[in-house]
Amino acid sequence: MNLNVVLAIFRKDLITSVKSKNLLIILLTPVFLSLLFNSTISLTDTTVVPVAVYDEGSSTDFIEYLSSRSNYDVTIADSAVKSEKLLYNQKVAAIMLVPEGFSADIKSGLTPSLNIIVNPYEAKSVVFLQTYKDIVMDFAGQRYPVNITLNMLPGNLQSRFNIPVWIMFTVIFVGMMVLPNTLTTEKEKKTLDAILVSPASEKDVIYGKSLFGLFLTILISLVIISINRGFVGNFLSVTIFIVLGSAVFTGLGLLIASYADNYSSASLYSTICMAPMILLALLADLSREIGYISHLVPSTYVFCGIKSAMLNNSGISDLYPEIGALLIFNILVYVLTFRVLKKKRYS
Amino acid sequence: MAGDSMDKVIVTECLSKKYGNFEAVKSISFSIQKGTIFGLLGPNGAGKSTTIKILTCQLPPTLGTAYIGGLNTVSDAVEIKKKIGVVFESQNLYEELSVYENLNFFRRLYNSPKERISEVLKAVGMETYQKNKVKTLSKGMNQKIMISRALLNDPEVLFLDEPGSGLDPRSAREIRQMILGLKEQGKTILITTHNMEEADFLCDCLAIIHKGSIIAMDTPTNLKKKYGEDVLMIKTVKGDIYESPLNTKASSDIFEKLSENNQISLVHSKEATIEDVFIKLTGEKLTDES
Repeated sequence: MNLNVVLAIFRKDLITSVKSKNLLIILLTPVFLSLLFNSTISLTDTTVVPVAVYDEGSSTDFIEYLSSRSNYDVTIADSAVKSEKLLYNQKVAAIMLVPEGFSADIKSGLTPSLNIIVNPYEAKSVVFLQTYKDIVMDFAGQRYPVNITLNMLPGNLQSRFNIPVWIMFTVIFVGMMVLPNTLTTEKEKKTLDAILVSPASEKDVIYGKSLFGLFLTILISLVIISINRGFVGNFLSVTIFIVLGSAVFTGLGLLIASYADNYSSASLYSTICMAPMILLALLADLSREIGYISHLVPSTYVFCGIKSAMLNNSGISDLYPEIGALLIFNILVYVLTFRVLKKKRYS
Repeated sequence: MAGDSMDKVIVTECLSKKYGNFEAVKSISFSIQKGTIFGLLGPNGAGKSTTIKILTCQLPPTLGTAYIGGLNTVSDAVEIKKKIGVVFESQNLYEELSVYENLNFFRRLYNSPKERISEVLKAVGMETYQKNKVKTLSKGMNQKIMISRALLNDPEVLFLDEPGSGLDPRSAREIRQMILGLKEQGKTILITTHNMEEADFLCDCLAIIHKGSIIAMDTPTNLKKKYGEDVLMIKTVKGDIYESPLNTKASSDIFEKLSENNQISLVHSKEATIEDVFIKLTGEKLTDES
C-alpha cells in the first residue's frame, strides 16, 4: 500500500464530494432521519409497554388502575426478585415495586414511596418514561403524593436508545449507498483507468476510498451524537466498532461497485442489500430464527457492539466475539473486493 | 545489435489477448525505437486499444510478452507505470474539479513536485486556465489537459489513444504539433488512430492492424510506395474524369488520345494515400470520424 497515493485519493474524493451538492444531500440523510425520529418518538401513544408490578401488599386498586391503562401491559410478579428477572430477561420494559400500604397511605394523605426500575435496552421504555409519572399522579389524585425513585442511567435516556441505531444506520448508509457511487463514477467516466496507469494499484484505490468512507462515517456519527445530547458509554469501544463497521460496509459497498457495470445497477444492489442488513440487526431479538440469521450479517455485530459500549459501558474485553466477527468479515470482504475489481477490469 | 536493442524502448513478442473465445489481438510483434512516433492504424475493434492496454499494464496478455524500457509489462508493472504517460481516447478528467485540482491529484499519485503542474500546463499552452472547472472547457482544451496530465511524471514513453479523435480541425492541428514537439524532446510515442492523415503526418513507423493482426508495418512513405499507386487524373472539357496509374502505358495512351483531340481541360497527379494502402491490404474502407 502506498500511503501517499491512498491519501491523494482520499483528498480528491473529499474535494469532489464537497463540490457535488447531490452527494452532500445524500450524506445529510441520516442526520435528517435522526432529527425526524427524535421528533416523532413522543407521538407513539399507541405503543403498549410491558410492565411488571410487585405489590408487597394491600395495593390491589393501584394495580387494577395500572392494568386499566391502555399504554401498559401489566404482569403481576410474586416477588421483587421475580419482577427483576422479568426485567433482565427483557420481558418487560420497567418494573414497579409497590411498598406495603401504598394505597392506604395515599388515601390517608401521606406521601408513600414507589420504586421503579427501567430497562434501558428496551425501546418501549421511552414511552414508559413519558407516561409513568402522570399515571401514578392521576391515581393518587394529589399533586405530589408519591415519592418516586426511578432507577435509570444518567443523561437523556430517550436519545441514548436512538444513538446506536443511528450510528449503525450511518455506518451502513455511508458504506453501501455513498461509497459505491464514488467508484462506479470513476469506472463510468474512466477516471479509474487514469489512476491505474499511474503507480496507484487497485488496493490503493480501495484503501483510499475506505478511508474516505470512514471519515464520512465518523463525521456524521459525531453530528448525530451531538444532536442527541452528547456521548455516553465506553469511547474506545464505540470508536473501534465505528471503525470496524465502517470498514466492513465500505468494503461491501466497494465490492458491489466493483461488480456492478454501472451506477444504476450498483444502486439497485446496494438498496437490496442494505434493507436486510439494517432490519436483521434491529430485529434480531424478535425470534430465535431471526436471531440465527442475524448472526450472518455484520450489521448485527456493529449494532450489538455499539449498543453495549454506549448503553452498558462495555469495554473491549467484553466485546471480543463481536470484534472478532467484524475482523473476519473485514478480511473476507476486502479479499473479495480486490479480486472482483481486478477480475472485472481484466475481463 | 546490442546498441540497436538498447534503442528499442517498446518491444512486443507474439502478443495475444483473448476475451473468452474472441481473440482481440493475434500474436503481434513490433519494436519501437527511442525518440520516434509509432502508429497503430486500424478501424474500431481492430485491437489497437487492447494492445495499448497491455503495454500500459492495464491488461495482462494471454500469450506473448511486452517490454517497456526493458521491463516486463506483467512482472514490472509498478516500475513501468512510473515511466509512462497515457492519454486516453475518452476524456477522463474530473469534471467537477478545476484544471489545477485535477493535475494536483495526479501529481500526488506520481509524487511529482508541485511546480510540475505549471510546467506541464505551460507546455500545452493552458497555464491561464488553472482555476477553470474542467467541465467548462472545450474538447480541444480538455485534450490538452489530458496531455499535460500524461506529462506530470516526465515520462520516457507516451501512449496516445486516438489523440485527435472528435476534435475540430484547428485543435487537431495544435495537438499534432504538440505531439511532434514531444518527439523533439526525445519522448518515445505510440499513438493509435483510425485517422489516416494523422497517421501519415505524425508517424515515423506505422503498423496497420486489422482484426487483431498487424498486416503491414513500415514508414508511411514506404507503405505508400509498396502498396499504393500514384494516379494520373485527367478531366475533359465535357467534364469526364479519367484515372490511371501514373507512369504506365495506359496513362500515356489516355493522355495522348485526349490531347490529340484537344479534349483535356485539367491534368494532375494524385499521390497514393495511407487510405489507399489500407483498402488495398484489407479490401475495406477505414472510417474516419475526425
